[in-house]
Amino acid sequence: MLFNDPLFLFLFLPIVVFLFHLIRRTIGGEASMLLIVIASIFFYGWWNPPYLMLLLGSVLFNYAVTHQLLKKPSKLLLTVGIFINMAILGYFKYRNFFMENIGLLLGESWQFEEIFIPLAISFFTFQQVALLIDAQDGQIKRVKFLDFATFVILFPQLIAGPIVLYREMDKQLQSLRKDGGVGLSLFGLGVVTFILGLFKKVALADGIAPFADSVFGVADQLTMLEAWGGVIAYTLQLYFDFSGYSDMAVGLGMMFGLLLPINFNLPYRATSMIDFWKRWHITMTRFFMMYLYSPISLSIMRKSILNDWSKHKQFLLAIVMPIVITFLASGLWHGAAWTFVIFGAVNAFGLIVNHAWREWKLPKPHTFFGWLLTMLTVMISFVYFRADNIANANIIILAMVNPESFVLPNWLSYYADYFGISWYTLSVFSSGTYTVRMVGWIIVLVLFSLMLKNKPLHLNKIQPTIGLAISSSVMLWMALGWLDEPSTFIYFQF
Amino acid sequence: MDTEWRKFISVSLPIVLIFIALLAEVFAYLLKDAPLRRHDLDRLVVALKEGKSINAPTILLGDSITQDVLKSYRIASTGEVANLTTNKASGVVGSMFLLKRYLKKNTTPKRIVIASTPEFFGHHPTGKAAEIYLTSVFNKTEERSWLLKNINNVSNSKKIDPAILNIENKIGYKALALFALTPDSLIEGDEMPNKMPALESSSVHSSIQRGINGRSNEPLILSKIVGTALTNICKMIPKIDLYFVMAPMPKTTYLKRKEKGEIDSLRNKLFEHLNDSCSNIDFIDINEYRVFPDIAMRDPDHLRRPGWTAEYARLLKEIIIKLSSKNY
Amino acid sequence: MENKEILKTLNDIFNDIFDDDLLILTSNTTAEDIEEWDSLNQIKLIIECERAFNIRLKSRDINILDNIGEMVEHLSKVIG
Repeated sequence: MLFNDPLFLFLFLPIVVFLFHLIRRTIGGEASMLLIVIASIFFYGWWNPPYLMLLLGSVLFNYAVTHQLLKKPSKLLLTVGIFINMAILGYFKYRNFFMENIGLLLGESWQFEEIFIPLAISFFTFQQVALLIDAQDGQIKRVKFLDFATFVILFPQLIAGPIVLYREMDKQLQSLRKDGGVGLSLFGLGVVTFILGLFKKVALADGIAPFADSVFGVADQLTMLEAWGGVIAYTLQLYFDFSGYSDMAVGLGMMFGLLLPINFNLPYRATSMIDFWKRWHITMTRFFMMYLYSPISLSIMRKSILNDWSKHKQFLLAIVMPIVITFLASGLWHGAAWTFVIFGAVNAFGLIVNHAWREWKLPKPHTFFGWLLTMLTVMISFVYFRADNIANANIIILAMVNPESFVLPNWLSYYADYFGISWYTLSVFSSGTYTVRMVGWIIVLVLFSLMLKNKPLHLNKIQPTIGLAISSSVMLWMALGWLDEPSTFIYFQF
Repeated sequence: MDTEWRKFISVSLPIVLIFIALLAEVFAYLLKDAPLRRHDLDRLVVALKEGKSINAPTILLGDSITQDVLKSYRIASTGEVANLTTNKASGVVGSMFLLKRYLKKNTTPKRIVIASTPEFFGHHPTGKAAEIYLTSVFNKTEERSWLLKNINNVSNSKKIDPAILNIENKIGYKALALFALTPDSLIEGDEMPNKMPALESSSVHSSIQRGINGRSNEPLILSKIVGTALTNICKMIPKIDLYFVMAPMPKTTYLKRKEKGEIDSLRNKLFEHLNDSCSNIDFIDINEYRVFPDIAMRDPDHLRRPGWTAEYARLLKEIIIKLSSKNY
Repeated sequence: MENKEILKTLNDIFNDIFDDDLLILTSNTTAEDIEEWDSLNQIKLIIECERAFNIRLKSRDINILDNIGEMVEHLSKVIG
């Protein structure tokens, strides 16, 4: 069950929300928490009942470890706990990738049976690992099992984030248990946020997706314009898909009176790579910053000051190396393939250049230029993120920059001949109408991505006006209208 | 929830939602009788209905390979040929309905030319394609009942279809009709160019080559429904001259089919089936006049524009002239 | 050490790291208010604070602070 499933929207959600608030009002906050846990288990189990056992097992195991760590912090126990979590994640998600590559190194080509990856395993593993570390640190004082379970399994954020830290939920859950929390006071805002997210995903992302797919599907046949069109389309698709989902998660949380952290902040307005990563997938960046980058960088930096390293050595070891490690890891976190590693590497490279520029106090480029460079770097990394394999990604990027691949489509043959540009029948831009529609979608979505604000943390900035009712209604109807559109029936291509 | 938000959720939002849905219904109702304008077939239907009489001696039917060409190039002087070509999705069945509608307002032609791929005769649309190119276009009572009787998969159920969830069809495409000029004539290309456009010679993409190879292996059949439709066409106009013109095929496909005798076999099937209904039939294979190499194709079925389509137009024009001069 | 003193020392550190003598910190200043804030500067900040107050800090503790006011509180706690 996904958030854009009619079954979820019209059956599961209304029932659970209604029961939650009813129970909260009549029986109490703790009982309503129990309801959410049960509903979330049902939600997850709907996908694949066997893996429910894995989820529950993970929760029980981690609770036990947490409980012990809170009683008596132990580096050994923490290490073992993290190791087992990662081992399970590693087995399901990375075993084949790992083994196939070892095989390649040994000159063999091993093939492995597909392992079905349990849904959300990356999310709930990382969320709990962070909690274990926090428990060891003493960041958390005590945890009740119900709170722990709610924190991990909460269905709004279970499948696709945001990656929540326990300390963000702690007070809220305690408040919920004691006197019902904030109750319905965030409900209206939650509905509006959820509608926005649904619209972004179903109308915008799924609307432009076919265009991106048509380009990435024929990597070896692309001309320059087609490649650019497809990459820009995918860049937009990815943002609206993911931020839409994140908005829905936040909106759902608010319907239950819980505030989940936001994940995006107008990322395509970023004017530098550093700025970009403060705005894109914020909770994941935060996780990797807190638990990977900062500890490594800090300890090496301390050493560098102690031993009086040169500025270059310090930069290389205390900054470049942690960035590389962090981004290769976060790249790999997205999926078990080398394309994701390169995605991470491209971003790492951009960040390193950015940091070096600042460190050596080079003149700051004009804002527009900074924005352009940032977007180019990000888009290139997204090509690797999306492509089926590295070879295809390379071909697409080559098409984007190779002057020889600048070819006009045959329906512009008159103008092409006039300017002496070569033309032939293209695979994606095969007709004028298709191309115009694709460009139209791109323009509209670019505008939306720059102007449609992600729901702010400062909630009282949004007023329940008639204007909001109108925009929400239009968005909701558009999303509902497109809900069961499997994929665009491209019937103008005859 | 504070009172402002409470009012929003329980009053403002629901009211606006319902209001917008009702607004959509009102628009849909106002546009109820406006024709849909989604594709060329819609345009053709409107032109037949609203346009002036044509009374052409030659009627041209066929699929998108031919229609494509006629959008750019003229194959006869004005009023000589009535262009009723469509696409494979509406098929010979669609052509039959179009012809019937044409005859309601125009004089009987001397000849009918069906310029198409051979696949035109083996195919009839089902499912969503049938919905978009047949049932939603030909919705007069007798047309609907014919479709229901002869084609499976055509739905008749009037399910609940609120306008707000189907804005494209109920409002969008109909509103387009208001803004689009009412076509008063059928599609006719510009003059044949004095200098023929260059023939593209760059190699065909691998996926297209694969498609061409796949097409070569598909057998040519005459489906039952197409047979029925063809018989009806003949019966509509007693003593009509009916000409089948095989549109260009990529060389690989053509040679394979010639080798297997598929083209002759289709020709014989057509003649056999229409023996009793049509008095005068002929079969012309353009590929015998000129072989179209694989590089002439922009996809397994259609020709590259503008050069290769101009070549087809040139040949078709010659054929039409020849056929017209045959007559008394 | 009093919070006022901590804030002043912190301000000096910020002025130094962000190369901006005009920067004035208040309890409500956040990372968003300072344009040059990034992960690298945060590390430098921690190191300088450790030096200035003769303490040892954990990066995770700093990451999660919302504003300068909370940072001062945290520093005060660690300094003891």
